[in-house]
Amino acid sequence: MNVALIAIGVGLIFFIVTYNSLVHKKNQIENAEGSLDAVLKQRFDLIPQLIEVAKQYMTHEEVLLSKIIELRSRATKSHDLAEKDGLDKQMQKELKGLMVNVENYPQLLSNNNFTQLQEAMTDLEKNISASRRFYNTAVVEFNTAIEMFPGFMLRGLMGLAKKERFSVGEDEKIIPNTRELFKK
Amino acid sequence: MDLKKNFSTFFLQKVRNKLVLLDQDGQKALRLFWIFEFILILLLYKGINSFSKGIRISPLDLIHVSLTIFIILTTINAKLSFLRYKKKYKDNILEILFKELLEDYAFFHRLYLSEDEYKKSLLFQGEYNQFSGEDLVEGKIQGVSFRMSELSVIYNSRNRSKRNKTVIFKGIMIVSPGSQKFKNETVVEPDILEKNFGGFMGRFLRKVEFSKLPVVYVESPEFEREFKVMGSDQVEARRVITPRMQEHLMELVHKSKMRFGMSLANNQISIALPTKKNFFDPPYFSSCVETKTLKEIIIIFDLLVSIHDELEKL
Repeated sequence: MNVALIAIGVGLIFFIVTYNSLVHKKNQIENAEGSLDAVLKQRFDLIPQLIEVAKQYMTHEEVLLSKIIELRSRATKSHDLAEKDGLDKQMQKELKGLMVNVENYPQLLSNNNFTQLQEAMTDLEKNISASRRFYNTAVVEFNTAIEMFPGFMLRGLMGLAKKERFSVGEDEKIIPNTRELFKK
Repeated sequence: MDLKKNFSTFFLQKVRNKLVLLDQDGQKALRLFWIFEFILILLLYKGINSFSKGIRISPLDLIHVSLTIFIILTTINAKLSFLRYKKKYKDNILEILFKELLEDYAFFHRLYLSEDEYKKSLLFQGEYNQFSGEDLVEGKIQGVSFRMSELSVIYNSRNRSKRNKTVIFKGIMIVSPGSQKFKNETVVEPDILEKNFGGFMGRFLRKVEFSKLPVVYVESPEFEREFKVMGSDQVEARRVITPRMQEHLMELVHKSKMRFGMSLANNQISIALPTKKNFFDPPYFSSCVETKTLKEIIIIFDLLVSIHDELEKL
């Protein structure tokens, strides 16, 4: 009887610890989502200011500027973070194209407002990159926990499913260390 | 002169001869010191032995006492010579190196970093009741302002009749003004757990051990084995410890063969390198005509500039 009670007690503790750990990991993903969402919003808020300044000088880039505005508009209306992130990446691509064309407008380059906005955008890009990495790390931890023992036993009970990571940019990749590969 | 590339020329032209002269004094002082220490111990032992059998004053005892006093005085003299040798090493040899490497520097043998600078680094969390150090160097290297010294941070406690001494940190600490870009705290410590217990167990133990700041897991497995990252802001910590920074720090570990910790906290970049010996002292048991100590000092400065440059790119 005592042995049975001890076994039930141990099982209960085991269950509570595993349950709490999975909840923590799930919350960590939500935390990361919140961080990424906040930084993306900051960037979306900056775009209209940048476009406004650029428009005054870049009279021949209306198509490109309109495309950026359209992508931004779609991103701000979306409630799905993955979709927002995808649209942000497309917008980044267009912005890079814009920055290349800015070289043809020296007056714009010397505009203080524009320079400050550019710096703010660069800063935000770094924060977005860090937020994506935070999200991906949280997702990897969560996915590993629900696939390994004992997490997989509670997966069905808690209604947990694997999550997808965001794709990373070149600067976010780890280049494998060939020395370590040779050691293995 | 770029000392990393031209160290041999620098050493042969500016340092070697001075080291050879200094070495003669140093080795002499050291030999005398150890010989007289040994004789003193023997005499004291004999004296205590005789005394314990009862007080009897004989001519032999008087000679014994006189000799003991003489040896004590000579040992003190040898010790003073050794201290002079240490001072000459710092004044003549290290000053040449600092003059070559640094801009606007000052070197104070008896001063050290403040407790405030130590605490601001957040690198060590142990309670302590003894804080000391020496050899404060402050100045600029390649435009990077810094202050550096040896520190010894110890916790002394008493357990019934037994005294315990826990070394919280003993080594070199360097501090430099941090960037205004980073408002939160990020700490990178050498990871003992994953290194000693392996990946799976190490990560498990890391989850259950108490950390002053939340742990931040990063992408590189090699980096994770070597370091533990903690940060008050998960996003900012990842902004600092980018994949590029992770690779860079690993390169520094392999190149320098030193274990170090670093932090960005309280507007200060801090780097701590634990060392077993007094870093700026000449070798005690071997000739001082060697390049190892000077090369290690250059590596430490290189570490500081390297990390600072990488942080500036962020």
